Amino acid sequence: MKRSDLSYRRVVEHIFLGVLGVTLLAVQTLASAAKTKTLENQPVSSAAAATDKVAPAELASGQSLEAIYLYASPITSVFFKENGASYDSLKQHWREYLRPYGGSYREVSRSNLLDGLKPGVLVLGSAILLDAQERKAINSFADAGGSVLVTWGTGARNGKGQWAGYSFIEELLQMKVTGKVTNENSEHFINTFGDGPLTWSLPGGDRIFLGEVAETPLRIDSSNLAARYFDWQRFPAAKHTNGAIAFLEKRGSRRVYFGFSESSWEYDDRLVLPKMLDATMAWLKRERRTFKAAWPNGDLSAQLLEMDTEDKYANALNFARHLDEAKLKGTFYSLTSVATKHKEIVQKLAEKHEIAYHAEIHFGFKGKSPEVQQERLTKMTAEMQDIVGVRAASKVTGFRAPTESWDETTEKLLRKIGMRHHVVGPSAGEDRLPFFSKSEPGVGPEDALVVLPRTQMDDLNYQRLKLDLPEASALITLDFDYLLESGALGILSVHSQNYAPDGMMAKLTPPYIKRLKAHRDDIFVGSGTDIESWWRARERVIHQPAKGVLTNLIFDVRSPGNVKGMTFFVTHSVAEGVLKGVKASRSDLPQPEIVRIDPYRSAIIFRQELKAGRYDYGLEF
Amino acid sequence: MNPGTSLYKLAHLFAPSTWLVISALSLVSAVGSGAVLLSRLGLQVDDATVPAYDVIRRFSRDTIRLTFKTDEGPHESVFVAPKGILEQTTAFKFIEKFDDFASSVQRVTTNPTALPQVLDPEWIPIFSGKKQDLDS
Repeated sequence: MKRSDLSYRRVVEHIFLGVLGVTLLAVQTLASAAKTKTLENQPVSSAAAATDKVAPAELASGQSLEAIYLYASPITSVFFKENGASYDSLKQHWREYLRPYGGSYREVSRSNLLDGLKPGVLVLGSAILLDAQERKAINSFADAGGSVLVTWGTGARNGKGQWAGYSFIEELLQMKVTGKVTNENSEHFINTFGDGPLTWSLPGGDRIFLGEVAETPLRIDSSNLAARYFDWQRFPAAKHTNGAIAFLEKRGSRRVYFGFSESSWEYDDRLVLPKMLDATMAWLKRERRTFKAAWPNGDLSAQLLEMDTEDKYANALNFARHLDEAKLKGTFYSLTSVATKHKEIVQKLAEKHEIAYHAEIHFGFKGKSPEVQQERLTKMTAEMQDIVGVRAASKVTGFRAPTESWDETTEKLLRKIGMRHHVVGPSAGEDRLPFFSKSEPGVGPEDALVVLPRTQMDDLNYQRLKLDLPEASALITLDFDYLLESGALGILSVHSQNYAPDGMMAKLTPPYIKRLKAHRDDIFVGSGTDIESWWRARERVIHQPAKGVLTNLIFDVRSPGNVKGMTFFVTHSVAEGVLKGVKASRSDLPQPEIVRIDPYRSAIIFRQELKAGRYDYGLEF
Repeated sequence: MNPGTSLYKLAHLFAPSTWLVISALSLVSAVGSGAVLLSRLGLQVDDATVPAYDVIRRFSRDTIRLTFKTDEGPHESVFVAPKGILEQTTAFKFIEKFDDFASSVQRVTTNPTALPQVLDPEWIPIFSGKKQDLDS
């Protein structure tokens, strides 16, 4: 199209939009005038508001809260309108989300707020303007035991619209606003903390896109976080810069802060934010919840230590030595064409560690025809049989594609040749947990390939960034902490050619392993097969989180059973309101162990092996 | 279009460029009329048209973005809140007065119930939509 055509189109478009705008404004003005008249004739403080006077004595410790209030924030609404925007566009998201709460949800006016509300959950969705009376009323509501959910820049401006800063939210949540995620930044995602009290409904490290919105999210620093901002590849930025969701319980009042505005909800194509909000609202309402933990024995995250064993194969012994010193088991994904030249090293490694496949040559599989892929895999397995023998080769069931390049055909063929797990790159899924291969949807969890996504930085990432040792050390430490807090599966992947005794990875790995050992009680460290077996066993446990008053834990274990270490988390209705007892409904049921995880969660751990069948327990708080 | 029809003749009464000028003049007249109407309501045209134009523009752009999951430009921001609301130095029109809202969602005081006769095979409901039909 010619440039003159474009200009012409633009002029016509502007004139058309201008005319539309004027017409709309005229209609809006008339409607507004009519509404103002109605409001003048009708007292704002309705009969419903009169029934909502604060009654602190009514709120017993740990008692769940029923009412949910969405604050209409008339001052914010007028300010938005006066300055060419619409507060309703933001608030509408809350209306839609809260509608299913039915009679327990209502939108409240300023008069309702100032008159005092019964303890409940007060939602302040991007209520940027708050005057002194509103601030006082909100603080009184919280002091009386009410829960508050605050988003974005709530309270950043005073009742007239003048700048007031972030002290209101900072004091309410005991946190610090440390900056903004601007569109020039790449941190347009949040990663939620798996199994956390507010975000347990989503898998660990779920990557949720917030869009490149004009309502720039605020970065926060808090000791209680439930999500952080990340870029797509989850580059581990400094901790004080990337807090996204904070929470706090203070004298019985629960508070949650979302650093992003409701504009970002529009980018939630997978509709995971409502799921997260369900768990967050349950926490704010002080409703106890039980849910299936991602990891066994009360562990909070998991770690696979693996080597892509290819060039300079002998360096594998350096990595094995570091693992042996810590009594940890690793997995060596071996390039079979190279491994055939180092049979004795492979056999040495196999004594304490897992040997798995890294294909026969270092070329990816993606896009290759099924025949070519099959031929390569056949050659790969034949070479492995030659290295470790036919019987031992049948137990090699792990695969990692060279350059993390594979497709559906690869996974279908892998399953046919007896592979049980597949280590893939960070683009395979949105969260940081294992999953069952999506290449063959009809295959059940007992037979499907378990996919282990590497979402942790590997040695090639460090090389590309051209980091020196202290810088790389700082990054790997941050990565470790972020994996742990998000309940993720960490996969530390190193390459044999980068593991010379004086190489950077050989210096970075021992301190990393030392940190792992220090967290032995809360991190599940295993080989690829260990993690795959656990994920398959976990899938056999069927549990529907109960809603309402939590009095029991009921779950089923599907055949063939053999589930060991199964863990359920229980959220507390009040900080330190630890679960006191678990009573089996039948004498033949195993007795689980109760472990306090933190002020907000307890774990119910079944260290015994669970057989197929139904399990029913009463919970005592 | 058939060359013999009146519509064809009307369309060819003027050259396309003349039609464009007529259309533009009509639009300007419409804008002028709108402005006169607004001035009768006591509003400043400049203050009123700019935000309205912005609202329309945002709406059209959001519609395109959300329908086709795209935007006009990869880094063109769509504002919902006033631009720069979290910038300390942005100049805004401050507010002096406002009207409170009445509660828009009232507490439900009665549980929803089905009509007692809903399972009565003899009952012939009349769906005129009037309340008396339900009470009868």
